[in-house]
Amino acid sequence: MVTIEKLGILLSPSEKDFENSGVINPGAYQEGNTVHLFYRAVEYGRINTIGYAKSEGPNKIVERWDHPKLSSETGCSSCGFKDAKIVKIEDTYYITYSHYNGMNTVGTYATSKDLITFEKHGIITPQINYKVYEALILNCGKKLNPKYHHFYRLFREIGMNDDDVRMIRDKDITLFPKKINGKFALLHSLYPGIQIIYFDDFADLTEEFWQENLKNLIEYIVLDPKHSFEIDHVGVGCSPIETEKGWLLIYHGVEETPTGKVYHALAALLQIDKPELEIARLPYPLFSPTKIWEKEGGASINYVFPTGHSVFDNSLYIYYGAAKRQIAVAKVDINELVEELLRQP
Amino acid sequence: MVKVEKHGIILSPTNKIFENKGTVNPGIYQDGDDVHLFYRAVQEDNLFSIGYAKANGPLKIIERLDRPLISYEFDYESQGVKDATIVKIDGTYYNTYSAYDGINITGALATSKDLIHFEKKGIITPKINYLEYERLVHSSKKLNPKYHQFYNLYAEMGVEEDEFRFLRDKDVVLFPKKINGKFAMLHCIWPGIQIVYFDDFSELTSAFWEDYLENIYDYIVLDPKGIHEVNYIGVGGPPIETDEGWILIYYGVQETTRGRKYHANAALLQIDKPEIEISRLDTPLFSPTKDWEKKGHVEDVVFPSGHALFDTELFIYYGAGCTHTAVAKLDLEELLLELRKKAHKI
Repeated sequence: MVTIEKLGILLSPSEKDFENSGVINPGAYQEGNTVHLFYRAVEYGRINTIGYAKSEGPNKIVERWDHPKLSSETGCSSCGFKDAKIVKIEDTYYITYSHYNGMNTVGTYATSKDLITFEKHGIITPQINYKVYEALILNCGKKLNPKYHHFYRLFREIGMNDDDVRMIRDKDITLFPKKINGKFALLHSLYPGIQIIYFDDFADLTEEFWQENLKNLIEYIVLDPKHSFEIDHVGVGCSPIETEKGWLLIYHGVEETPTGKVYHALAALLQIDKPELEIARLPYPLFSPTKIWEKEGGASINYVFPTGHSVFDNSLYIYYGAAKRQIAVAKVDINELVEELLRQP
Repeated sequence: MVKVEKHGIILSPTNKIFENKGTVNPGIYQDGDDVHLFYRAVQEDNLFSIGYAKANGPLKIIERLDRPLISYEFDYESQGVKDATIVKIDGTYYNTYSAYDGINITGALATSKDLIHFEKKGIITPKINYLEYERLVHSSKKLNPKYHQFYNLYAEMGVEEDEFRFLRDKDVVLFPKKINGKFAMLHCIWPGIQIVYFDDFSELTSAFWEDYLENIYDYIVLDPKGIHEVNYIGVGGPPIETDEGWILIYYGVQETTRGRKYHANAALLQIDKPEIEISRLDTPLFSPTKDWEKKGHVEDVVFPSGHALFDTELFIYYGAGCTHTAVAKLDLEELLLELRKKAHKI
């Protein structure tokens, strides 16, 4: 078993309106000793925005903004940004995040040269409804995990699969921190699994691109549920971490129980040149909600949701949302984790 | 473990349009040696109606109607009527069934004096939206958190306030006799099974349901417990009266990595107060094992919907793979003994 150390709560809600209900699920960008945290700031009964804090070393907050760093400009009261992830490729920072408009959660992105000013761009996840989605993935045949049809069936049953405005749910969009074979590589999470796409330019992510991708979705699946602790679904956590043995992916898995869902933090190793190929995954959770402030007190119970990381010497620090209320940190030895993964049959 | 013998398929789809896709989940009414089957007849585009067949003894089909017995007529059931359950109380047959209007699945009632002509009485489950439902159940502290799950989903989609989008409540099944002089009815608000008592169906007004839902915790009969029913549970057929309590055959849904698996389960409820669970089996009574249970329009489904009793042999009729009706047989005394043994371990 890998030794994981929970270092406790790093950031809690403050009395500032924009983050008075929750601060969770931070994307992290590390520059030397500095870790930039872009977290989901939740205002009670209102919109989500992206808040900002800076840490010196893995868990010492030295700066924290008293207003959002990124917010939705559309003005609708139930809109919001969530779960930003940041990578730097060549000389540009790419921030991918979810945007919620009261109905749909879509993936979108912003770019920056300095992490101070940001240029927002459009939606990059498929803008199709479940009826169209179903017609495309039927092409994959019986080998596709039947759960890929779940939301289509549910939406059809409640009369919402043919809508013009209701899009498929696609979350947790996360770029690899460098190009792979000269292309951007991006992970996203269509229920119940994690998939990958490759592209030269964000402008390539057109309707045609997605049609072709979804018809062949089975080729792009990175991980589908396997163990009991991820039986309902899995989703991307941190941006993948490059190691000599492959890409280390920290992700979340959701377990079904008689009284609700439990979110766990999990780990897998993906092939370095072809990350859609899984080398191994841990047959037990990396960590689970065990502390009282991970199990209750926030918008979700039994919830640990890893979204960002930093590396100091051999230690991997994982930043995660706890009970959908606060941000906490867990520490693990990166070599120990990789070796444990390589030991799996 | 109770010994269950699977007898195989007794009803399959035919080339008649109304039942060319599936013939499943029959409600059963037994009259001596006659077993009346009121099955879900499924056609393309997922429209369903109630078909009828009669068996002599538990397994031998001797009559089958070539058209639906009960069809979708009114707005509230415009996209289908399914999963009928029939009981006879004080000379009247009561058929409770699920009605689907393209958006909502609700419980509806039809009555009959002869099992041929049915008079429809409309929706009998709460006609409230999820915002209202959540407001009513919100303060119930002991309630299984999953009772809020559909509200959370609908709220995420921004549709919880839609007036036409009702609380999902199905598998509405009457007890085969009144309890303490009142109708006793089981119904299934996700994820569990609840009970409601009333003198007359006309009592089931908005005001009645508001009061009921504020106290829903008191009316829960069963909630998910074992891994084989970890997602949710629902009523199979009408409860079976025994000296030791009501035996309830119900279905449990288990999440797997590749979808959901439906099992047939059994519980024992207190005879005078069936909201009190005496015991339940901690493994399924039976599960999808045959090819035609594992494959079909929906995979991995056994959906018990009714029973017939011949001496001490209990025949359970069930939908298999959402395509065929099949029958399983077990000894009622053996099941009762097993449930009583479980009770003493509590």
